[in-house]
Amino acid sequence: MPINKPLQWFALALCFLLAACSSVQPQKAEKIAYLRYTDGFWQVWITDEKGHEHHQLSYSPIDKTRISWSAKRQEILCNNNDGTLVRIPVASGEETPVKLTVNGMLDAQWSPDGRQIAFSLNSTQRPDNNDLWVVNSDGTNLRKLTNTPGIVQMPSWQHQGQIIAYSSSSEDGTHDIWQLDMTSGSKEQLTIGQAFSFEPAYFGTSKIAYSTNQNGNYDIWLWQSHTAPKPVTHSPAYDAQPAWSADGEQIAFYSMRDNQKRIWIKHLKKQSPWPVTPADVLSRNPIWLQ
Amino acid sequence: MNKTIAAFLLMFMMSLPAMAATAELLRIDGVYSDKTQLREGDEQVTIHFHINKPAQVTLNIYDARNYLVATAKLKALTSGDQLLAWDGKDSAGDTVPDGAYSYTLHASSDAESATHDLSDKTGGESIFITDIHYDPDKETVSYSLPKSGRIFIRTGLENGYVVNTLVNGVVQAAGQYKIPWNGQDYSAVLSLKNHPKLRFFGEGYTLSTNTIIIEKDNTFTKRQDWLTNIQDPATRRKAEPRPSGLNQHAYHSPDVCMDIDLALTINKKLAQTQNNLPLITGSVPLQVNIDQSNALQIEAERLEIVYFLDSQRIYENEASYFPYTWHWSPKVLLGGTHYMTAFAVGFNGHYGGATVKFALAGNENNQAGIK
Repeated sequence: MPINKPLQWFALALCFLLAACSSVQPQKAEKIAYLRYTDGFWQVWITDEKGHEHHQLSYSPIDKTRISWSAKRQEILCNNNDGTLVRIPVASGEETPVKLTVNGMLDAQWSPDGRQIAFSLNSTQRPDNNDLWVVNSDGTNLRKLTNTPGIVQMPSWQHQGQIIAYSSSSEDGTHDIWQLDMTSGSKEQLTIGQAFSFEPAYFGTSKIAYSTNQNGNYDIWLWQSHTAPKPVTHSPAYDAQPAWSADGEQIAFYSMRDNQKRIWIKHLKKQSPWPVTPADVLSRNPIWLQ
Repeated sequence: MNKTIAAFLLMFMMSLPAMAATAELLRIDGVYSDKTQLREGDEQVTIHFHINKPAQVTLNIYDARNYLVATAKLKALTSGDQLLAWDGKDSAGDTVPDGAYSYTLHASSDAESATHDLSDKTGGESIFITDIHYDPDKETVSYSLPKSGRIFIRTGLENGYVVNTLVNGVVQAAGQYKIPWNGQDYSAVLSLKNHPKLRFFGEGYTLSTNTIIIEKDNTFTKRQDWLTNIQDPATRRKAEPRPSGLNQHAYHSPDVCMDIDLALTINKKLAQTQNNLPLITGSVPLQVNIDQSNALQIEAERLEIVYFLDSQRIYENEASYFPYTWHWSPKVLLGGTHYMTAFAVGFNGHYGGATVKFALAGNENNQAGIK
């Protein structure tokens, strides 16, 4: 019995259609991890950019002070308040200590390729004497990158992983944003003024968002190579701890506008930011999955 | 003859623009007040000034947050020396709270206006109070204030930390002061009256020259109350940026320029000793917190928290947040009574502290005390 040709073509088209449908993935909302005060400690939580769903990731009874995403986006590196580090897979939430030869780390941040960890550490007995350090993720090749009499802290990796932005104090008591080229060892001061500038967040190779009180109160500002820094937020409230979206079009940040400690998101081309964490909980330190 | 007249007219016409340019503008000068304080029993302060043209003049009184609290207006003043008075009351007729108030003068006529306002152009210079004496028997602290200003008097341990703030950003007129202090720290846990390393530190900044100090309460240390019945917030005086080089507190809004109340708690249920002290036998979480009603101002100070055990520095964190918890493990179990202090210092030059007293298990006869 001969096969009906139109039916053959229909079946073939149906096969192609089914194959095409199976290759189309539903668009996932971008993940934002942040710290929320929960049952007496600051814990890691995860939400989406709309703030629709929130779930707790860490539970150990110790404050988490700074977090960063792994290279494969499946884990979070946490700096605990006792200077130790743990890594937490998003899938399991199981905290595993990162065994390193040094203690007392602050502001630990995974490099974009996940092979190194940058952090701030006071290795002297003198107060307010932190420097920038780097170690391989397996604990080898520990090295000190700066040697200043003041406070060097809050490292942020450039996308290519050879340049680190950080905040450093000056002799006159101000704090500015600097960057260090790990290949050459050269350092460059990016902000200059009688202000306090903190929490640089690198995007790509030439944009840094940071928090500064240059205009009298803390706002998020944007530094770009070959242009003058400019404010991104304009609020009398305290704005800090910026984090970039994957496309570099939005910034998540901590703010106390509306009299709450919340995470907000601002699109760089739009005026009004919106909150992504609940008003009745304390939240801070967002990091955006990139 | 005609040529002479023509030359004269030409010269006259050429001088007209110059003559117009030198025509006098309305201005207010020679401003002074007959007193710089209103104390109990004083009825009013009189502001003297000179206007060079007839004008209507308004005297505005602002509190230290630049809210308008009172207005006195005179109409159709002639040129010359004039005066306006303020009785220390707000627009509703109630006596204003003690504190610093600034006055401005505004003159206007049909064609022009002039304003006299020295609020942002004067004052702000640092005051250092070095002659501070403590009488532990009478429990009084004496000092001499060389100029009127907004003042901080603090006490602390040499090479240590501030243990108490005795005058917390309060406006005081120049003069001699004697204030009470019982020798206790912020938490009333430590008694430091006879501590050999006890020191006193006084600083502040001068007030603008158009300031009137209302000082009816002579305790001199009470933190200023603020008027809450501001009639129209839109009349808030727009402050101009102050010049650089002033005392750091001069750039702060006075209603938030103050040292900080901290709370330190051992965030773990512990057994109590016979003296009702918490007994620490191992690692404990030590939590520092602030009054959340002030959190917005305090966290913007970006405080650093330092922990001291028996006045010895043992831990600090550069970038602090609240609530802040640090786990402490006693490394050397020196039994007896000890003191843990959390001390906060902000980039705005404000301080805070809190102390808990506890007992450590171990040799109960070995008293550590304070070093």
